[in-house]
Amino acid sequence: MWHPINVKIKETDNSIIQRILSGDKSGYRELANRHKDYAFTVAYKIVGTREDAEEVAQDAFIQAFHALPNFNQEAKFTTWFYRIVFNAALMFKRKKNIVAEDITLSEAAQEATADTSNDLKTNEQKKYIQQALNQLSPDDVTMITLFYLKEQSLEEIAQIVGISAETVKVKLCRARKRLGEEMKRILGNEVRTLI
Amino acid sequence: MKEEEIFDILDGLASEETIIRHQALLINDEAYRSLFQEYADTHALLEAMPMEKTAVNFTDRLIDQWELSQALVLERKPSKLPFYFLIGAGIILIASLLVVFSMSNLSTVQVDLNPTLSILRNKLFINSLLTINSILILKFLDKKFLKPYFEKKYHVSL
Repeated sequence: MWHPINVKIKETDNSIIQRILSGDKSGYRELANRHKDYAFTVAYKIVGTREDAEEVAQDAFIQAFHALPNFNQEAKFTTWFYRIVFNAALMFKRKKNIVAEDITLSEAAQEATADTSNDLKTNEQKKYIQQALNQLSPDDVTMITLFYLKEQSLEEIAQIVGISAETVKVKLCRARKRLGEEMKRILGNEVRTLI
Repeated sequence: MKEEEIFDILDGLASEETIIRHQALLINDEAYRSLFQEYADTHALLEAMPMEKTAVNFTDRLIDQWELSQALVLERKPSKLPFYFLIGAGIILIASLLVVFSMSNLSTVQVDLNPTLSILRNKLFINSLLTINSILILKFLDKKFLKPYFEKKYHVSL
């Protein structure tokens, strides 16, 4: 017997924006739910603390909501929105001039080898990557975050950050090199234990 | 091998020629092997980098904040109040001046004043004093009654 299959097509961001602009307020919530984690993660990687990252992400959403009537419907929402998040995080970082925490090499190495379970390993990874990211410039952090988290293309990253794709490639290469050096400085040869 | 080329290999973007050179170096060059391993480790860590999760009530707080900012915009819209007040004040001022001028033409009593007070006979001086007094009274009324009233009624700081 043949059963019809209901295929639910995911509504595009631009279609949600059109609904919002025609007065459907529920669209704000949908947009927020769809992009909050990524916005928060980008902000977190740049500003370094969860509290500040939440503030930055909220601020970015409010800015984006206010600017929705001016959003070019031909463009990709995420590229436009991530640029707002990126700028909001940079502004916040400049204002607060966050001093990144440092840890001693020996403490880190000891903690890194202490646990073996998967959850703990993931937490260790997050922790040390974040510590290494805290030592990099916001530009470097942004390159790495955009490239690895949602696998944005070099062209998309270029649009978000406002530089050419070629420059993104060079900056990304340098950023990864610096991150590797930081990880090595923090963990020594223990980096492999985290993978 | 340039660093950019190493990352191209890791990203799967390297040309065939680069890959052949890379494989040869891996076999023959101990220093290169160690450097490549280092970059590969960092790359693997970053690829496994998880997405962070917001607080559970993130969206609720965001929507509250958004609605609040919208409400403030709406409340600020009837900002014509100061404009209406200025029109009202202007009308009262003109009416006061008209009364003052009409009364000054009705002067019927002639009083002899000593020279130091003779300035009080000057119509221009008297009219200026009355005008200044009217403005001061209007300012007083505005500060003491009108401004508090409108602020309380519309929750707007004028």
